[in-house]
Amino acid sequence: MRFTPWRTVRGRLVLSALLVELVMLAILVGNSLRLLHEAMGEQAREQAEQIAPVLSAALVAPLAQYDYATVQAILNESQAIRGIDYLAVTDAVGAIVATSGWPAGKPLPPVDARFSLDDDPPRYDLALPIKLAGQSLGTLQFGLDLKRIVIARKNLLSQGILIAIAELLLSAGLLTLLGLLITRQLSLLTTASLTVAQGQLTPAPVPEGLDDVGRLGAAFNVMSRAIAERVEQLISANEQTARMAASLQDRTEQLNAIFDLSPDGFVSFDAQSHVKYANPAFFRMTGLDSAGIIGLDEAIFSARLAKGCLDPSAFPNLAELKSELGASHPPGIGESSLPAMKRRRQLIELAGPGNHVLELGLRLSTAETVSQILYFREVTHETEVDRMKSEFLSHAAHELRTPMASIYGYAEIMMAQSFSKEEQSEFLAIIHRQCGLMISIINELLDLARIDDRRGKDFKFSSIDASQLVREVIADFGVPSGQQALVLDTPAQACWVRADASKLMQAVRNILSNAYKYSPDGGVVAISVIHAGSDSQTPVGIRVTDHGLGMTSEQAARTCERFYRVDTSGNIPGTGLGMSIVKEIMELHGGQVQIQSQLGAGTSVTLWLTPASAPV
Amino acid sequence: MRCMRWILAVLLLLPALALAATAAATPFRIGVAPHSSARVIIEMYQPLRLHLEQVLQRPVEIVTAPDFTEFARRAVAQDYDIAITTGHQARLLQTDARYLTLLTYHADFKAVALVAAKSRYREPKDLTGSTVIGLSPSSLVTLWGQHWLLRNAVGNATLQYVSASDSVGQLLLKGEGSAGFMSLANFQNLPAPVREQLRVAAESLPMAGRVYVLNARHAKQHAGILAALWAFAETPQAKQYFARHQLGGYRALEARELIELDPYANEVRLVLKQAK
Repeated sequence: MRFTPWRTVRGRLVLSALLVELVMLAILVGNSLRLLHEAMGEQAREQAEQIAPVLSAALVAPLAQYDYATVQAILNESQAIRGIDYLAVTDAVGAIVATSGWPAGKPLPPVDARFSLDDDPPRYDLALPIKLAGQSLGTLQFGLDLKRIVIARKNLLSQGILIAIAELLLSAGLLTLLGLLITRQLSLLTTASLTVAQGQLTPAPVPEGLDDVGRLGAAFNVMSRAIAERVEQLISANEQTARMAASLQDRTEQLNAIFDLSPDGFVSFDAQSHVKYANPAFFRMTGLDSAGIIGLDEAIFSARLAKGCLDPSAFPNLAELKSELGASHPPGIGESSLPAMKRRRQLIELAGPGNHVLELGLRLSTAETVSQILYFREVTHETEVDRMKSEFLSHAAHELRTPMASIYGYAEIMMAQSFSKEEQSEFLAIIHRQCGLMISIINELLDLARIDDRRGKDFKFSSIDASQLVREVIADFGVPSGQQALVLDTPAQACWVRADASKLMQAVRNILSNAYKYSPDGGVVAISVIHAGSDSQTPVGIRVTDHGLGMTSEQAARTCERFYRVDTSGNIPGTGLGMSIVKEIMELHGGQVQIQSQLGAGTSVTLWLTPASAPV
Repeated sequence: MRCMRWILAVLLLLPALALAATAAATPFRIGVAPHSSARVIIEMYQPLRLHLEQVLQRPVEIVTAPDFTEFARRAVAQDYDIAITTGHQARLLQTDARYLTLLTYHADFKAVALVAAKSRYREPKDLTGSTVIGLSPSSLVTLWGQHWLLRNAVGNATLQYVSASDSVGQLLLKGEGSAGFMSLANFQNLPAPVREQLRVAAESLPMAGRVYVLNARHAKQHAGILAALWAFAETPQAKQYFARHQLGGYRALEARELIELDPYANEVRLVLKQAK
């Protein structure tokens, strides 16, 4: 890199020195001119003072004698004195009586108040009264010729300028040479510094020495080595920082992915307890939007969240949650809340579709940027399962208690009293029938439990002709007494389905049994196999149709619930598990249960099965 | 008509007013015969000049002339308002230029003939054929000297004129002349070393030496100016002046004193005519 001369130290030094020298030379020349002016002025005044008394003395007598010829002669002689331009004498009343060097009849020039070399022509006009013993005899006026002084001043100025120019040129050359000698090593230092600046941190050592510049070079060498070492350390630290940053970035991305993909919701609060972050799961669970949540104070956030709950009072605000944590964990420990949350499970049920049930947890933090993290876990299904289990147990116990109560009551009567043989037979028959009901319930419960437990793992699927299967079911099915025989309608060709034959036959039996039970007044019960197409893609249906009591649409929708009974009168025997078992079996077959019913007109239940190719 | 008279009166008065203004601006010129050097004469009469300036309320200047003849010529030409000159020129001015006499000094004016103390002069005839030094052809002392030479039958004497009495003394000491003429007063005022090397060969009778005469254009102011001169004589400056120059003060001039100098006045008149 090259600098313009006036941007270098050398250039500035030279320019400064030349400027100072120029100023000093200007002052010198100006002062010389001033001194010349003053000296010449003084000399002129002295000359005038020397001339005047002599002339005055010489003129006194002729003036007193009115001897103007003598006066003229004196003036003519005096005008020959070098430096006098003209001489003139006026009498006591101001009339010109004699002149020399001045045109006759021409008015005399005005007298100069001060000495000046700038008059044109250059002349110093003076006037002195000629007096003797206080009597004015006249006035002597004369002009000192200043041409020589003006020429001398001009010569002084021109020669002074020439000398100054020569001095400046010589000084410039000398100063430039001195500057080069002085700053040569500085130039090397500059080059080395620029080399370092361009990234080469190990420049060639610059010359060292014992003088100032040499010590500067030594210091620069030490500095450049130290810089190189420090830069290596910085590079190493920078690389380590980059690795850490990459690791942190990776971890951040992982955490972001975890948070984004997590089914659980997380809301973090900053040190001022304002919502700082919430992951997508939270917004998905709560239906809240990001813009309305981020930045909220925890109290407002609590209120907003409580407002979204089915029962706002069920949601404790964050302050209460923190106070609970604080009670179990003294402040300062910071971490932790899972143990605290185990003390009391905090659930909230959100309003809106789906009735989401969320489990809340709060984790306090001592980190500078995060004060606490609130997390939400979707427990809707878990809660529903728990509820269903409880309900199932309640129903099962209720269903078992009814026959058991009957058995217990008749057995107790028979032990307490004596009855006739017919009565005993009747009672025993009741007990027997109730026991059978209990066994049926227990068997069906076992079947259902087995199905739930194994989830189809014990099913043995194979291609089965649905029509053949139906015929086998009918063959083994005992039509209740007083009821009409089944009406069978199967296609002529085989309808192959993929099914576990025994399980599918159980499902068919169950819907046949229900068809007869809910047709207390009789009526035709028909069973048919439906296969609309001949290809392997069209599902195959096994449909049982009765003309019994029928159901409302609500009842039909709940038919497959466990222990759900359309008949609540108790006149129709049943466990309420049959259709549940049918539904479970069909789901494990990949099929569906279709129920069409009309209250008072009858019900049609169709089991839709996946078609299969004929066995080889 | 009356208006015309007023205008005529103003027109007549204007020149008089202009003259009065001119007179006030023009210095009152006192011419002193060159009995000594111009510097001595000017310094000598300064007390009088200042006194008259105060009395006349106008500038007063003391002037002289290069020599007696020129002084006489200027005086005759009415150049002076007051002329202070020797008696014979005063007589000439009185007769030929209508000057009015004022006064003169108490001290007698005498002319002396001087020779060098070491001179071999014993009697006037010793001066025969020698050079005699005078002040001016028309000065009283020179005319008296010429008359003295004539009365003493000194023949072939060559008269050399110089401008001042000092010069007469110096020339006599240098041997440039065998005798010289000057007033007694001037002789007594010579520097002692010069005076001591001279001796008086002859001395005149007392004459009217320096006479004040007034130009006739100031005839109306004659009495006032005369009174002013007498008043000046009473001032300390005048007394100092009289004492310093051994003049003894002023005295009135008798008419006969000037008449007695008619022969010398005639000599001056002849010189003036020759000069023309």
